[in-house]
Amino acid sequence: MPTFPTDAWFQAFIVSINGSDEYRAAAADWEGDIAFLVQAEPDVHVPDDVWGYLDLWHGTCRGGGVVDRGAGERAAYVLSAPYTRWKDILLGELDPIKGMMQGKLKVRGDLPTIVRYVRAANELVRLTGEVETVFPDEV
Amino acid sequence: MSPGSGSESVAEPSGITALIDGLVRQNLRRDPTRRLLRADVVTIEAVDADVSVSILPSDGGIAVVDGRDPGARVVVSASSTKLLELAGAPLRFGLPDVFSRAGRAVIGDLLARRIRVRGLVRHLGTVRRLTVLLSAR
Repeated sequence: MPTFPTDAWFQAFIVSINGSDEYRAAAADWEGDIAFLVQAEPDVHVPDDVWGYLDLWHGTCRGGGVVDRGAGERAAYVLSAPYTRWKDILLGELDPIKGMMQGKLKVRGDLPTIVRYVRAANELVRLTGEVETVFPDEV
Repeated sequence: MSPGSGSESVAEPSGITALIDGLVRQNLRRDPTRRLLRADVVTIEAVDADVSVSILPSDGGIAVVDGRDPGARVVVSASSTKLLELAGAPLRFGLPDVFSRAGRAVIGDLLARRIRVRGLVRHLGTVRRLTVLLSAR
């Protein structure tokens, strides 16, 4: 099982995305890369910020993985939250859209586009919970 | 209430305020003709997240502020996801388009009261201007 948020975890996430009929349908017209910024929390064994990157194109993911900050910041869309918030999302304990409304999950990018694809965005984040995951603070 | 855009910021706005403020700003950049009239004060509540935001005309354009406005003539209440689906629905004459699947879904949510709009009938003009202002289309 991959550890979140490592490159191996993002590769498993990409497999999950590409296996999802729901995501393929919801994001059929989507064109744009997304970065997931997992903000450091040293006290729970995440000492540095981690940028995950997904090249999303018409309902599939063409590639991605852990990238450096510069590459992550160049993504059209950035979803950011501290590690423990991402863990809540992965465990299904925080709805991502509700988290956005509460300011627990921040989003950067063209908001009208994100709003038009809210079902795809929701499905994408929900798929994070389908990846069998080891959490560094539980090892 | 603490201010969002168009005012001096005294604290970081809540997530819903940052989101609606960003949406309004980006929509106005795309289409500067979108506007509210002077009395168009509106509150939007994400009931599942227990957060709210108010939108009101201001001297410089439109202000988006945290919290409920007691003078709001229209109050939109729904879950976080339903609010975004409302903003993402195609419009016809300022209301969800019955000729599109997404528009019909929103109308179904209105009829089933999954999306509640207080003041919908009495202030239909305000509702139309609000939906156009927030529309992601």
